[in-house]
Amino acid sequence: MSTSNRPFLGVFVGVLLVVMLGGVGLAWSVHRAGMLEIDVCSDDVDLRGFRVPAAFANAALWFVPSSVFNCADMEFELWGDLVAEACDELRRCPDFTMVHITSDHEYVQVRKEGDALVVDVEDDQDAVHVSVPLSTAKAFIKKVKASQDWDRS
Amino acid sequence: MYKACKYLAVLAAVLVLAGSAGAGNRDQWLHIVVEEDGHRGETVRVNLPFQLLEALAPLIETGHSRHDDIWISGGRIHIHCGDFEDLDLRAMVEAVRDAPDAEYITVDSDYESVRVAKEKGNLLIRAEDGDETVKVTLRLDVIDEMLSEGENELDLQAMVAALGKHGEGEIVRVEGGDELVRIWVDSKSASD
Repeated sequence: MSTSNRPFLGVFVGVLLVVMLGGVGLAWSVHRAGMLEIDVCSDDVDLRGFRVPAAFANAALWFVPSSVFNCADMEFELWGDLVAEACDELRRCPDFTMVHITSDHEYVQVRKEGDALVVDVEDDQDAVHVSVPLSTAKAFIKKVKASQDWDRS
Repeated sequence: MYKACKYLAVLAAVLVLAGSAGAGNRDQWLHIVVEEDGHRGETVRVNLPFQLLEALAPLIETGHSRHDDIWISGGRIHIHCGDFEDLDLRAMVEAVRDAPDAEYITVDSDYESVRVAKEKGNLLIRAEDGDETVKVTLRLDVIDEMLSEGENELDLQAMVAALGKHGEGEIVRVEGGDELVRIWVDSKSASD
C-alpha cells in the first residue's frame, strides 16, 4: 500500500467504525424499547402477528398531527399525569398480574411483563392480545398532553 | 478505635434497619378480590404494588364542582359535608387509642346491626344488613397517619404509605348474597 493511501484508509476505517457503532447502538435501543404487539381474532377482524418495534412507533407518533388528539377531554386533564407517572413507576416494578377477570365466558388479564403492559382478552367469539411497551404508552401520553397544551396556547 | 467501631456498627445497624423498613414497604401488595357465584361466576382479582400506589397517590385528581361533598386532589381526600365538618377526628382517634380494648358502639335493629370495637391496635367495624355483612379492620396507626393537619381532609398519600408499612392483613371483607369482596395487604404479588 502506498503511503498516499494511508490517510484515506484511516478516514474510511474511522467512518466504518462510527457507522458500525451507530448501527449497534440503534439496534440495541430498538431491542431495548421492545415491540408493540397486536393480535385480534374475531368474526369481523383477523389481525394476527402485527409487530412494530416500539422505537419506530414512538418516532412515528411525532409525525401524527395534533388534531388527531383533539378528542382528549377533561378526563385526560385529570388522569394524564397519573398515567404517565404509572408508566415510569411500572418499569421499576417486578413483573406481576395487575388485573385478572374470569367468568364462564370471559377471560381478561392485564399484566406487567418486562417493560411492557400486556392485555389479553378472550370470550366465546373474540381473542385479543395487545402488548404495549411502557415507553410507547408514555410517548402517547406526552403527545396528547403536548397537543392539548398547543391547543390552549 | 473501639469507640469509632461502635459508632460505625450503630450507624450500619440504623442504615440496615432503615433500608429494610423501606424495602418492606416497597414489597407490600394491595389485593382486591371480588368473587361472584351464580351462573356467570365472575372473579375479579386486582394486585397492586405499594411502590406504584405511593407514587400515584399524590397525582389522583377526581375533579370537583361546588356541589361535591368529597373529592380527591393533591394526595388528599377533601370532605365537605355538614356532619363531617363538626367532627374532631383527631381527638376521637386519640381517645380511642388510649382507651382499652372493647366494643364501643353497638346498634341493633330489626334490619341491621353495627358494631365498632377496638382490638389489639385495630379499629374493627362490623355491619350486618339482611344477607350482607361488611367487616372493616383498620390499624389505628393508619388512621392516625391519614388525619392530616388540614381541616376536613384526609391524607391519602400518608394513608397509602402507612398501609404499606403497618397494614398487613385483611382490611375489608364484604359477604353478601352470592358475592364476596376482600381487600387485603400482604407481601405476595399474586392473590391466589
